[in-house]
Amino acid sequence: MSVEGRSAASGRSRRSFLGTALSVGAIAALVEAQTFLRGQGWLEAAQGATIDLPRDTFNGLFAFVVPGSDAYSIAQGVSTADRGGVDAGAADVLIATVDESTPFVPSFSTQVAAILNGLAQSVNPGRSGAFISPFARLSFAEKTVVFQIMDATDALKLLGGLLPPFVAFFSYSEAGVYDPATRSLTGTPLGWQLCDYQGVADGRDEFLGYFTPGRDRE
Amino acid sequence: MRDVIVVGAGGGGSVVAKELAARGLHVLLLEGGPRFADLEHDWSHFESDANNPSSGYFRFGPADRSQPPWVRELAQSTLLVQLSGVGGTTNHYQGNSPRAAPGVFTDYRGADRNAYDRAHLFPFGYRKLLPYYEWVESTLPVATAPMGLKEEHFFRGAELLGLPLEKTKDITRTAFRPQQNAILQPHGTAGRTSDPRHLRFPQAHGCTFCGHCSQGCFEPLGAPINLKAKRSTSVSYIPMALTADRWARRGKPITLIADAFAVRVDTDGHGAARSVTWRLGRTGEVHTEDARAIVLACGTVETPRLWLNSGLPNPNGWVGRGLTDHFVDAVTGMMPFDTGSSRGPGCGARIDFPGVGMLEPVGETPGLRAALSAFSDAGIPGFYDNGLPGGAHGADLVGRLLGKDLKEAMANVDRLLNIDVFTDDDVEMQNGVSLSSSFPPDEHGPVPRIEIHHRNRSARTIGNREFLVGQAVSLLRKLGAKKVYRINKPPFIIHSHSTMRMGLSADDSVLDGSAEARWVKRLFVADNSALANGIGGPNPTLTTQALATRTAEIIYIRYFGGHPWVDREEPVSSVDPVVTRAVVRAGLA
Repeated sequence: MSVEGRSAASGRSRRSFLGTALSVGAIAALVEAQTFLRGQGWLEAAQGATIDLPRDTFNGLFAFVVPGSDAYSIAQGVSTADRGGVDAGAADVLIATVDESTPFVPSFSTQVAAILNGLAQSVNPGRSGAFISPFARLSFAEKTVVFQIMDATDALKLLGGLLPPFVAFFSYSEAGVYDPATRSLTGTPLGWQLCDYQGVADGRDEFLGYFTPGRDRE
Repeated sequence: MRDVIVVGAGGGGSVVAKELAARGLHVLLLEGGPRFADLEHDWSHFESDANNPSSGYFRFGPADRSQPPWVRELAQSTLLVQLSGVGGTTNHYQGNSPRAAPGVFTDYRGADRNAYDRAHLFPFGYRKLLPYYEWVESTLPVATAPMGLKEEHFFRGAELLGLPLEKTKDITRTAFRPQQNAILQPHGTAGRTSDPRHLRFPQAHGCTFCGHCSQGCFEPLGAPINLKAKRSTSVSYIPMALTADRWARRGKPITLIADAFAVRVDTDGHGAARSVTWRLGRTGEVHTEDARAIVLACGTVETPRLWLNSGLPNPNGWVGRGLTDHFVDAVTGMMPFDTGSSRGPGCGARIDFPGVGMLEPVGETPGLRAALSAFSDAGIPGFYDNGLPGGAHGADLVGRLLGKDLKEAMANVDRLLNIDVFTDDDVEMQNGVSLSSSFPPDEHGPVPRIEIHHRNRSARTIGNREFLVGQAVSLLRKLGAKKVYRINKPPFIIHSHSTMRMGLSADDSVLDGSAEARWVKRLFVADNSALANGIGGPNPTLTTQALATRTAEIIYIRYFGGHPWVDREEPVSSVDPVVTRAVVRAGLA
């Protein structure tokens, strides 16, 4: 994707969408995100969504943050030879975390997915693809526009700011293979393999002494 | 009727409780979160167990992990790093225990004195606080940090910048140094082996270099709780407070109630503090108890929330205001050599820039490192910059690392050298904590709202941050970094202070110079919120603990007819054999 391509996508979306988005009053980002959904007419769609839509959407998000060799990464036009966030297997953990983070908003993950998909449809309404999630069908550059809009929208800033770090955390931690019932791992975390992490330990042979000037180690 | 009720068993409240228990007062210590009594059982090394913001044991939430976390309203993109439970944020801190910059106190006469926030100084001199620093440094204890690889590289970078080595505990000039850390130095096999068969106490003693400071320290395995390496208050001050009768001549053990969330402070007919009401999480029962003095130590967010929910006076509007957070940023280098980033204590080195702030090399586990690399207010490199002011200063990329950029950066977590930027930031009334009008109240009342106008910080704050970023980029370049990333973070609140600030003027402070509330007698504050400012950039915990020790002494003298002790006695170290014996006999894990 060329820089011009990125800029063109960005400009188109902003002209067509920001006027509406910015008109939504914003004080409390998460609560306002729900208001935002309702204002766009997306809340009903979110509530009526099939159970697979949030997972499909979050898979598109995992591919965006940590691309790999999976179908979502290939569909966005940015993929890698090795595996990525989708294969880390942590989409369900992210969904549970998002839901638990706002106990007074039922099934908040469904609404987050609806925001991403609603914005995706405004960025590129004609984008087709194999996924039911419009966000998952976007190109990588178009997904950046979704986040640009969220960053520029008071009601969505917090959500846009926190989703990428959450996804990165779950991709590179052991979340996808961590069993909370036994507090143990069911396999080797993909994220550890991706970053060549040695894994958890009770101690390591790393002590190099104490610093003294003119001499690195004593 | 208790002598003293302390609300909050974190970095500050635990100090007050232990000091007053050692004087023989009847102290009740309330903690809203879990007890964390058996660290080897309660904690693990897994990030997803510890650091999941909704369900991790280091979330900000009730003791029962099947219940959702407590909600707060964030008015902007913010990572607010709070945790509940005995030990508070010292459970996941890196143990860094620097003293404050002398320039933020009234007695500073240095030529650079105008480089500091002169409008919001501590209402007493630095020299007045020194004996309390020394007391806490002996009690924890605090010691010079050992080196791992990341520290060794950082020191070399600092030397390449032409900086001198600071050899005192005080901040006297722009210089680098090994940290003074509240982490026991490695002895025996600790730090010298990765073989778990040889890492149990007493074969291993002190820091084992496991690399899991952020998940809580329970190393070495098998050690009595007061001999765990990192000196969170859960392993230092709390065990001492619970056994005060066994190691202090006139001591009385405190009563500690966890899962007890304070919801109200009431006053008597004279406007003095009288009682605390709290709610037990497991049953929902509500209890009220009177005390001769009350100390709030719930943290920078919860202390003003409790104040406001109690309807206590706020005549100048400064309750909850003036939040300083060091306007944290991060600069990360992708290095052509092993950095040991995921190994060893979180941070064993730093550079002080008096009047500007501080740089620290900080290592993390991979999930946290990736998350912090993707948390930016500067858009996505190559696509948009979000209109955020602030330069690259020679960095290759500025903004969130996503997609192939993140994957490239994270290709080897131990080839990253991350430098955290801690700005000497100004106290500004626009930043702070209030009660949310948008979110529904929880079981403890209206929830807090955290508001930081980070794009509208003072010119000095922004200038300081940009200077520090430039220095961090230069250091990494001199070390040969292949790529340098500036994240340019929105508020990342790992250090927070001054929301109930003490000050010289009654017009812009909540507490007087003794940390007693200006408008409610017998009510004190002893967490980071009591600090007058951001202390110049250094990690705040030690200063809060020194101030809490001073506050305990003031309470004892003012309301219990006692005498000062810090200048007259020798402190008992939390690792003294007498404390170990007391802890073991008391059956503490």
